[in-house]
Amino acid sequence: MRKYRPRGRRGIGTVVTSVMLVSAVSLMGAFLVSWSSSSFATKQVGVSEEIDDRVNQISEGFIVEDVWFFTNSTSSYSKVTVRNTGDVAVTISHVYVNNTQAWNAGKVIPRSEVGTITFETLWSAGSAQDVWVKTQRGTEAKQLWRS
Amino acid sequence: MRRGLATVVGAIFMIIVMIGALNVTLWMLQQQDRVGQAMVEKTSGNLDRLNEKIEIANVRIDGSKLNMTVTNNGGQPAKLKSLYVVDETAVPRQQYRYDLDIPVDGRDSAKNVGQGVPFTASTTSLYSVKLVTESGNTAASVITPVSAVALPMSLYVIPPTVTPGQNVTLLYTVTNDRADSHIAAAVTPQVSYSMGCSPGPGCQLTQYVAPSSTVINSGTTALFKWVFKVDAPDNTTVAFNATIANAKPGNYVIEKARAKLVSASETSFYSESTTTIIYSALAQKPELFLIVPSPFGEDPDDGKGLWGVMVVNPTDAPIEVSRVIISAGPVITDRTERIIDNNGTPCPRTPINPTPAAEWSCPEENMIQWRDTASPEVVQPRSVVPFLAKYEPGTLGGGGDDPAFLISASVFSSMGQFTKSGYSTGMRNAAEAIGNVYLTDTTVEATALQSNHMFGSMTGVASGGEFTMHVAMADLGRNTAGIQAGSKLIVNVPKGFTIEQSDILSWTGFDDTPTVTPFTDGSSQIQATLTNDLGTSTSEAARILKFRADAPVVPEKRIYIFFTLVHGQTTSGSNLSVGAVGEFPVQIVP
Repeated sequence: MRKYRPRGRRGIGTVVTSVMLVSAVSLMGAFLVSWSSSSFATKQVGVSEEIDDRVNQISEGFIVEDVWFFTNSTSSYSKVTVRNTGDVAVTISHVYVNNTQAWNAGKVIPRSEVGTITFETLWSAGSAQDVWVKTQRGTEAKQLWRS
Repeated sequence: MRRGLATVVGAIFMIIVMIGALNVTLWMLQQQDRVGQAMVEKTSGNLDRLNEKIEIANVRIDGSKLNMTVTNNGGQPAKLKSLYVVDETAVPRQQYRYDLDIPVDGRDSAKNVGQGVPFTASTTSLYSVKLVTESGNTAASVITPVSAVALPMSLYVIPPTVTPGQNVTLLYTVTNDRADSHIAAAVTPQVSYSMGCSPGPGCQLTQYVAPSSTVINSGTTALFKWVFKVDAPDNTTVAFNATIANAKPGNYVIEKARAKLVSASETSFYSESTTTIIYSALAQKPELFLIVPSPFGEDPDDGKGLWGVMVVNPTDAPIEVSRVIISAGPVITDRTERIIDNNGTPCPRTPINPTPAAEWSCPEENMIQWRDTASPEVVQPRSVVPFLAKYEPGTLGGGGDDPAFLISASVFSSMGQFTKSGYSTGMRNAAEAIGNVYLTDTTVEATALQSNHMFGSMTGVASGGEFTMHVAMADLGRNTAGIQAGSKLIVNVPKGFTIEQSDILSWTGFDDTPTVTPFTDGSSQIQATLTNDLGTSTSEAARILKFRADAPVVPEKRIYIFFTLVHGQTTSGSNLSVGAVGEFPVQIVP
């Protein structure tokens, strides 16, 4: 015995199911693409900044040419002369004398230039002074100088 | 057909996501490469910096400016960018910084660094200097003034025992052993000396060679040289003190030399001809030296020729002299040939100090005598006593001239009698000049003609000292015959005396300029040529040659003989030869 099936309703469910499945897949795919793009872009920016910082830090270099200890009528001073020997400008952020912060005003020294930093400090003649110079990027130089 | 569409769509999205992830991965790799590249560049820069090896090879103060020589022993070129100078002498210490821009190629050097900076340096200050290169390398040194360092030094005296009158060489070494500093300026050597004798011509050093200043680099030694002529008595000690200008107190070196006549040189010295140096070599006896006029007239106008016998005592004991005789030779066969006339008014004569008139006579024709047997004249050891007198010529009885006849001199002394001959003079059988040569003490001709200004010897000349001698060439005749122009006065200066052309001081009446000819044996000869005829008026006339000489250095009193003569001819019709002789003993005393 043969069942009657109305001709117009044959496979609609399948179609609907397929459409729903495709739609769902599309939605998930679009979300996935959108999310991944956004995530990658965010990460890229962060990594890029980090890489730039690292490259700049690697490229920066300086030496402390001289530290001169002197006094005037009122106080004792140190004059630190820094030469930028790197490929980028450096910003001297801190100077420590004998592990005590003596200066933190910040000073930009362009590439191949010399900068002097003068600050008040206590020192005794003929003794070794531990002078520690740091840049904003974290490069540092630590050296003993006779006062 | 529809089956698997969602899979396809999902796959597409997955592919897109995968592509994005892959891009991010690639980007990350690129970023890592940037970091790596930066590291490589940094490392390369550090290697370049390590390959710079700058060093201050030399630094000094030149014209009040720093003058550095900077070497780069590395393979990488360096560029000097900063110069720091600290004046360590200043109170408080002062620091000066100057920008530089001086490249120094690898394995090369840069000179005169610092000459262009406006820093005025002093050679008496202590400085620290530091150079910084563009890559951050530094080189430092110290400039030390000479006055702040004690430099090792040595002095060598060559020979340590020097013969008086000879040269001594000083070699002086100064070492800069300062490894960490440089001497500020060129070092100027100095030497002083002290002598163990009274300063004077016979006690002095004459500097012939002097060293110049020089820069002594670290780790090097400089050698300086002086040469001195030593004029000092025997056994004199000479102490040399060598140092450098502005030296640190106590930084000097002393060495001593001794002036000594060694035996070998004495032997050589004494073996000279006894005509120039008198020495008691063999017999203990007096030596005779003469003044002989030539020609000896005739002079009808009362002119007198100067005769003399200088008795020299070369021994160490006094000699008493009781008689001195000068006699004419045997060609005079006829008593009418009177060289010295004792007839009539016997032998007119004028004695010359120190012998008085009473002691002079003419006991026979052609004979001059000095005698004092009661109180003999004493000739002290290594000394001389002159017996001088002016005698009037006699006359020749024959028909012709006597151009030459023998003259001899005899002495009777406490050491025996001795005779010396070999001299001659001549006479013309008519008016003729009386040629003479003698010592005087003036350049004024009229004064030199006075008897009290006539001498036959010099005594007491200081060993090694300068002395002046006046030699007179005279026509003591009073007739119109004279000595022709062009005649020469010749003075032979013995070996050991030093005389140069500039030592001829006065020669009025002689041609310009009398010559001084040194001989290879060390002696010299002065020749002065008469400019005009001499003595052609009816009065005596003289020309004076004045010169100076340095006496030799002698260890004891010593007698030298200045053999002096006139060579020429007279203006008379006979043109007799002028051969006046004067043998002048000169006593040198230490």
